Amino acid sequence: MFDLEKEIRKWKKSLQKHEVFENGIIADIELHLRDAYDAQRKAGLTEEDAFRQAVAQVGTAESIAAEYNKNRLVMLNRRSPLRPGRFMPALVWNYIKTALRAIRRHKGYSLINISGLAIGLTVCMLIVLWVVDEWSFDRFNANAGRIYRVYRNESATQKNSTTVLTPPPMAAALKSDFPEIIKATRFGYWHRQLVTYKDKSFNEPGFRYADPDFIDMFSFPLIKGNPETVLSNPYSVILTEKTAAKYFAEEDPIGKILTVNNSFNVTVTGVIHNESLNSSLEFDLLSPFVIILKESIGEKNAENWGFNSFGTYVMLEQSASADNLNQKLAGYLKKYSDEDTDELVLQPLTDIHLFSNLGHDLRNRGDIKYVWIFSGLAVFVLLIACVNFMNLTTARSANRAKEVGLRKVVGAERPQLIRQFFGESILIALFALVIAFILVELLLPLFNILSGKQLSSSWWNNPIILLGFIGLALVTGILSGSYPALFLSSFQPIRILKSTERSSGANPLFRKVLVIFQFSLSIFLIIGTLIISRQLSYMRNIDLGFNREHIIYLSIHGELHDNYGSIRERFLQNPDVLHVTASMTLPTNIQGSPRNSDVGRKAT
Amino acid sequence: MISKTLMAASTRPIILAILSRGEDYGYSIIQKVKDISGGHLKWTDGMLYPVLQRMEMDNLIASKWKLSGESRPRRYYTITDKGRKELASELVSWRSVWQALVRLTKPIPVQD
Repeated sequence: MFDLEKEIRKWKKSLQKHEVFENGIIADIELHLRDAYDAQRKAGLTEEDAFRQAVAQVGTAESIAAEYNKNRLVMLNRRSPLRPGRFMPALVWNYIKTALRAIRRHKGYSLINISGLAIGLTVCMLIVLWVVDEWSFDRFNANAGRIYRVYRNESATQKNSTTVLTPPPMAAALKSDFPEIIKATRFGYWHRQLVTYKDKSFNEPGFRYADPDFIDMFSFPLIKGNPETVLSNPYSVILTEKTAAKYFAEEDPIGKILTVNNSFNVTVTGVIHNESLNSSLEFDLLSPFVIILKESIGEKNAENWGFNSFGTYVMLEQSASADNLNQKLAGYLKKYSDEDTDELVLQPLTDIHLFSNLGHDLRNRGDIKYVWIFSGLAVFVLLIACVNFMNLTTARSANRAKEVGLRKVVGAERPQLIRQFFGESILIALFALVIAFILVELLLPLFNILSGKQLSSSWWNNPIILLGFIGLALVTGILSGSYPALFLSSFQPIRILKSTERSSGANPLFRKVLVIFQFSLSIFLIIGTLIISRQLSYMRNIDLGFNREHIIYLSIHGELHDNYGSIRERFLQNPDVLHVTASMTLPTNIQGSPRNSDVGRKAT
Repeated sequence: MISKTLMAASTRPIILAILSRGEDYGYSIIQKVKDISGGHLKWTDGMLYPVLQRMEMDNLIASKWKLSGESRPRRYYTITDKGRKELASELVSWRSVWQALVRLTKPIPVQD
């Protein structure tokens, strides 16, 4: 008995032998077969004949399959080849998990790696803070770009000789002779002044003198007082916050009277903030310049072009060019002083701290050489940390080889793996950054003692520095991850997964070079440190020709100076004091400051 | 007997022409070809389906399944705009071939 359904199933099976016949296609053809069968039956054929006829009409499976295959080839050619995306978000979690697992599984290795980077970053960050601080000098002034110091080039009489000391009349003369100079001030020192308020007396080394333009030129914030009049009365004084607190504590300092050297009085007219500002001009008390003329050098010297003892600062108009003015200044001094062959030169305010090497310059300057040396040091230390990271990572590459092989087998391409390993090293660098932040905070007080700076944690609030540090960590991560990423991703999966032997590591020459580089740099730095520390210890222990133990000194001024005899007597009455003597300067520092004398005493 | 090459070349325009008159399904298309050509065009039925698939790949036709109560489900094909354009340009080609053949086989007029 003929069973149509059974025959159709058999026929379908013969079609299924051809891979190209998907179920949908078979359904199409089956429906056609059934239609053809029905038609044959209507034409009067028997079931069996009708089926056979229909199958013949449909055609052989081979020839139909061949046609479909052609279509498939066309389709394959048209389709763009499969490429994994540049970035697969779905894999990110897996990358993080793998990275954390690698860190956790090898605690010792991770500890060395992360702490190495953290220490490198810490050193680098401390140095960056120091460098930023050095660069920031005088730049807090809103007009910093327009303020210049006028110095004398004495080359005509003495080769390569310069001095920043200028005479009292110069500031006013420059201002009236050159329209582009819109402000000018003198800045004067006067050695230790004894300043008294009621029962409080201090020797003030930071008493300075300037003209009223000073307040307009420089951006020291005036906390109390009227900026218009603060220096207009000759016998006025501006105090820094710290100095004001020293004399008046909680009292309002404005209007209070201070006595200077027991000879004249000054009235406090303002309080200024300068503690947190990096300024090459330092002062604790600031009075009008005319006081020096009245109380010290005499008013006749106000027009003395030979009295070179003061600094002169000028501010130019917005559009003025310092180069032009420098040319105009050629031979300027001759106008006022026939004999004077010196030339005046303008020096940008922002150059004073780091780029100045002039005679009689301000104290407490920096030196751009040290900035470069320390910057170089920072880079070297970071490089050592990076190379260390590279070596440790590539040396342990065998542990990750299987992972690389497997990832490649399931379709990861090399760029993906490179990005994965870069990501990992950046992750580790960010870990190191967090540790470095903590270390910097902990070490900052020690670093301040070492560097003599007052760096504070305020850099946290400086987005540029903060972003800079994060950027530094990212660069460190990329740099230290570069070689391991390129190396690890180059593994051939077939070799790794087939052989049981472990990969012998990276290009031996390159790794040797890295190790040699790392070790030579480290040894270089260690030797440098040893030499410096030997030098310092030599300086501390050198035989100076006298016994430095039990000798103390203090400087005497003013009236003490005249009454040395009685001071000596009083000291000698103390049984702990063996000897007392006075000298013009300390025996270890003989370079003259004629107004000071020093008393030495020897205690048992 | 129509040659294999000519059959292959004519398949697509014929299918397009049939579908341009309205949607249709595979078996019915085959029947129409047989009827219209008076049996001169003999296609192996199964070969129609790969051609339809290819034409669908080329966006000349589109298909969708239809279930009607009385009969089997059928995949109906419709002609697309691109298919209509293709048909028009095919017709131009075929006409020019035909015209060329006609002109060439006309008896040459005798000149007195």
